[in-house]
Amino acid sequence: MHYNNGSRTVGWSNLIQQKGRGTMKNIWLLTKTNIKRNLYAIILSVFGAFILSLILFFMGNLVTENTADKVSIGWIDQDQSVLSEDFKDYLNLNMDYDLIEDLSYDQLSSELIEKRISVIIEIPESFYDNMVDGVAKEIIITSLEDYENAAFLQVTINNYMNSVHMLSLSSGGNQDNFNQLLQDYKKEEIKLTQAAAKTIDIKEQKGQVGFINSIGFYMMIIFAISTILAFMILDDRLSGVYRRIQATPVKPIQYIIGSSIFGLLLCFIQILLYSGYITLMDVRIGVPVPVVILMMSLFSIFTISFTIAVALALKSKNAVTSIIIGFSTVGCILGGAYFTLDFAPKTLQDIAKVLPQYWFMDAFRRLQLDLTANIMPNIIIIVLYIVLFILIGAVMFAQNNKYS
Amino acid sequence: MFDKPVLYLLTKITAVLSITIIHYTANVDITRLVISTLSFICVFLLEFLIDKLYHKQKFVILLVLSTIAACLILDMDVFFPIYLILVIHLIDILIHTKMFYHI
Repeated sequence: MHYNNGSRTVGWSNLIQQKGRGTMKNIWLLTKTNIKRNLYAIILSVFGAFILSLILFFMGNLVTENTADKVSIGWIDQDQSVLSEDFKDYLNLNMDYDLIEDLSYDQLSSELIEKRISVIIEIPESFYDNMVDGVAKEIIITSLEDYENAAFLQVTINNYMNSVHMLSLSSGGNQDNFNQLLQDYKKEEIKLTQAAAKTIDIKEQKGQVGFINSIGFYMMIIFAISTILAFMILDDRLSGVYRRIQATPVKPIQYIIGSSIFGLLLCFIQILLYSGYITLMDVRIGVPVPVVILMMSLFSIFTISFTIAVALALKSKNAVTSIIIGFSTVGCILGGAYFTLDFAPKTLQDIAKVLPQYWFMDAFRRLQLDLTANIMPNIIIIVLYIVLFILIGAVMFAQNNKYS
Repeated sequence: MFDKPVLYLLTKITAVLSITIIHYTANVDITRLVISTLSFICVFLLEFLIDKLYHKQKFVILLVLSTIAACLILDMDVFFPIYLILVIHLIDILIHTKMFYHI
């Protein structure tokens, strides 16, 4: 179809192309203006990626140091005998415990309260003499909360004490015989073949723990950065810039798209730097990097759509800040961003499933457990949240346009 | 006062949320429940937006019909309240506006 435009005939397709080019040009101009207006936001985004990488590095190291270390035990020897030395060697060399000596009971108690040691073992005076005479003297064990290690240690001590008691009975209360039997017993080495059911790869564990912690903080940082976008839109609405834009050939929808692209740019800078760090440093996070980029991009789009909807619905900066920070803080805690909800009440776990943060974290947790896990429902739910907030934003936008 | 599209939107969202809460207490698969709730709310919002912004009745009818079809295909026992509201909405759109019982 053609129509006559004065001296020349213009095709519909050319007109649509020109119009499209004009729209793209306006959106690009708006995005460029937003970047120039908010250069500090880009610096903040880069800084955010740096913080995430630091969290990934340090949290991984911190957690693996705590989990992969030997079990530490406080040791107080009031007997200082051959038997107590033998018992110490047994715990240290045979059972691979890390004994903390040369500290007073009070100092060891502080260590126990701060969970740096699992238990305190006290060897009483005349422990050796009593054992030789066949009288079992109690070893005092003080523990706090670390039930598994305390129970395992109890079994180890019982085994040792039973063996020594047998030696004592065999020696007939004679100290020389007892010492001789103890020496012979030490020489008898029963070889045990140990096979680990699962080899713990420290580097992989470090990467996985660091990643799951840093990705939790990512949700918090991305909401904080998107507050800049919300303030920008709100400022434009309140100061009249938005109305002046409406008077120009730029359409309100082009303004919203331009602002959204600026917001997405801030998010993508962070995602690219963070995933670049993972790839370059070869951090084994237990999740394929393309999946990380996809999920983070989806969550960024959700954050931007949420922020725009809030900025269009409210009229004060305090209200916008309260809603965005409130939603991100409560959502991240309930969604399991910083810790799993496995031990939380079932009702709380079910409430968490309403939040997009939960599905975001759940995808990574499931992939870390099993690389073939199906995370399609998680992706669908996050996409639906994006669509929902885009629609809410559109309704708010239509209402604002109608009444302005 | 609310106008008709807002009233229909609120009624439909209330129905969806009621169904979600009822089925949540019945220990059904939460993932499926969340997906269906979000999908229905998105469709209803889109329908509201088209009705309010563009006043395109044909698109609204199309969306209502496709939502009815979704209710029938997914599970009629579960989504019956939504189905009922959608039918009322459809009748309201289709009948003549000057009829005595028109809302």
